[in-house]
Amino acid sequence: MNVVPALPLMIVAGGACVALLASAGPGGRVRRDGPFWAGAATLIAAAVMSLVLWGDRQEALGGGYRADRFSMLLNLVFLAAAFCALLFSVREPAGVDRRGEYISLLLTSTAGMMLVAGAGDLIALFLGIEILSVALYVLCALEVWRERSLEAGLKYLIVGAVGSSFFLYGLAFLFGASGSVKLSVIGENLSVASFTDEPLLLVAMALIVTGLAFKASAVPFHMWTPDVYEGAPTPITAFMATATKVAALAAFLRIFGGALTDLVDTWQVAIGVVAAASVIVGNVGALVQRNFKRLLAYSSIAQAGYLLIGVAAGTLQGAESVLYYLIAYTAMTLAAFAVIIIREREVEDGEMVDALAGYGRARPVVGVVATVAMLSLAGFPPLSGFIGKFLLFGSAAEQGLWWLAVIGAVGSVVSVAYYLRVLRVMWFGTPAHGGEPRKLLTIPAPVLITAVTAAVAVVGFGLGASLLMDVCRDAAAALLAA
Amino acid sequence: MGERITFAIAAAVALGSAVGVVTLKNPFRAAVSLIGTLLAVAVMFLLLAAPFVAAIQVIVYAGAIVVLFLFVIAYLGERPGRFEHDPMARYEVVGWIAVIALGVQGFIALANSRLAGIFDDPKATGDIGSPRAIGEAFTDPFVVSFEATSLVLLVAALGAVLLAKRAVLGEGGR
Amino acid sequence: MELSDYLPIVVFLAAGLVVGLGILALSKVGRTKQNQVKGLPYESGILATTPVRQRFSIDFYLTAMLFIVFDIELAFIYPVAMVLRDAGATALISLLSFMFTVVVALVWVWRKGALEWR
Repeated sequence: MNVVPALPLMIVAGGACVALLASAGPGGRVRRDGPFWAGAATLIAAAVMSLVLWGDRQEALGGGYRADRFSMLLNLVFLAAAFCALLFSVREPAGVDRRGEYISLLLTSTAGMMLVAGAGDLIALFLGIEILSVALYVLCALEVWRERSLEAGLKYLIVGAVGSSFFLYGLAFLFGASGSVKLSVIGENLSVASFTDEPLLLVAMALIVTGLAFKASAVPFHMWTPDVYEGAPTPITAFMATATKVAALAAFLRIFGGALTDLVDTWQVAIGVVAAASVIVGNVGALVQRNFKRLLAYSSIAQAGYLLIGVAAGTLQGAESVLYYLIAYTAMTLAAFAVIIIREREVEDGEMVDALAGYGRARPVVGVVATVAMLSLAGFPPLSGFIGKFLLFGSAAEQGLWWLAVIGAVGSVVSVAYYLRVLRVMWFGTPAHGGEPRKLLTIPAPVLITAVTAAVAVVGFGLGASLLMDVCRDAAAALLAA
Repeated sequence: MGERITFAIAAAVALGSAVGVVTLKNPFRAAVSLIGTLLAVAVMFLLLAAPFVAAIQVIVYAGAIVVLFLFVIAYLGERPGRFEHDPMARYEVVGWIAVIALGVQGFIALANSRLAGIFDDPKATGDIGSPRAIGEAFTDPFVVSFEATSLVLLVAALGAVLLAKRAVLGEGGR
Repeated sequence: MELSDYLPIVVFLAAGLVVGLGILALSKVGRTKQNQVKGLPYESGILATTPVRQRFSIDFYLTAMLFIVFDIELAFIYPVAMVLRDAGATALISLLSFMFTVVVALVWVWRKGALEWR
């Protein structure tokens, strides 16, 4: 039995256990610093292992996990997001109070995401989604003394459980219709027999799209997103907004882009409609938000829409642009949340857009990070957000989905309004009481370094786009590899 | 024939009890009604030649999980029946429409399906439901899922303790 | 296994049902005299001094939840134990790593004092 391809996953799962044991261990030092270093070491080790495994598909452990370029590339994204969340949490209340548990849950969630990206069968895929969700339910509610945090945990739990049950129901139908739980065998079975009018398969696809749309916070299953993003501890929100979305899109690509790729005519319109609705609702909703976290929540709904446009294209080019945009999206969203995290530590209402008034002049570095993030999210060239959107809409247009490309383009034009409003407040706004922005504390070095790194990455992914595109093309090709 | 009669009875009990779970006003009764559904599902597992799953269904679901529900209801204590103006009441219609739509959709899909075993008697499969067969599945093709389950259990224990113990602390302040 | 093999279970359930319903039916037969002692929750024993419907402690929930976690662990270990002799070392290793994760949870739960009744 081949264990090596599953090593990144096993390292992270093992790291979660070690962090947990450290928190229950004897001695103050181990308890205080042990989990953090265990978590950091685990993430780095898993990232190195993922790079080592970069190559053609290797099946691990009887085919339940598949290490190929697709899963390894996404592993790196998950691990980077987790690492940023870890650094953001330095001296964050939830992170300080129960360090070991916090880090252990973060790692477990990451392991679940890695399982989603590399799952070889439907059961492992579902378990991956469950692991990542259950860990996040707890993380959202971890600041139990804040009612908002509890509310976020509870809402996410209920909505997430509904989404999971739809997804599982759909997987059961898919198994019934195709006769196998193995993703590769499903693809083969469906390409041999003509299944286009098999109703069970239609039901399966509808339910799977519903379940995954819940997880990716796509319209019409997005209602939980603003409340949960607002209530959860901000480093967790940053992690959720990036890594969870990547995991949900990975599942979309694995199922629809990989196993069900021959039935593209059947599911293309359904996913296209979900994508278009997400773009519209997300962008319109964000226009009126005064809370920065809620604004980013609506923006993330719109971003899920852009990403699904690439899935709906159903081509290799579409999958490749989705992967590119996922990486760019992770970097720019992390940079945007870093700004909230920094401001939130200084003032009570740090998550409001108005709390940032004049902040760019007071702290130019943070201001530049925010500017890069916002401009990239809005899609200004030459930043990576622009290139990603360009590729996504292009892949849709190439398949004759002009309406999707147009909706996406109009949506991003609308989005400029609210992204630039944040920047206007930040650079040209004056604080409510006039003068300097209130309370400037020293920013913890890890948080600032992460923020700057994310911003540099946003620019770098834009400048080195052709290089990154080659990597994404290889990863997307792995979806269809036998 | 015996199978069909057994299935019909089990399905009727499962559906009837499930309706009881959502319509009964007293949460204790609703939870107990759930036992009926779970036991009927266990009978269906027997019909599918999966005795081990049936046994687990009875032990874990009808036993432990219903007890957990009852403890949660007891923890919440006596509640006033319904709120005077239940803010969710107006969505009840939507819920029923969704349920009926799902049911109709499932019925149409199954009625039009070309799968074997829906309108004719299904062919017997090999041994898939005995503990031994499940054990073989766990040790070879599904070992990843087997191990992943342990992670789910870890998170479940972690979450329960973190949030419940916090609730204890929360009642005393903080 | 044939369905008829489960006949003893059906007979057992039917017998239980008959006894239960029979007691209920017999209580309706004949004259019944009500008095205060008979109407008490417990005909013999200590009288209830506080309202019966009290809120339970959250510890009940916690214990039940942890019970379920380890109950499910058992349900997963049992089938693997059945094939351990045939499947050999790989099965043993996968079983041990499964148990390791759950034991980590147990150690943590224990160390955090979640098993103490307060």
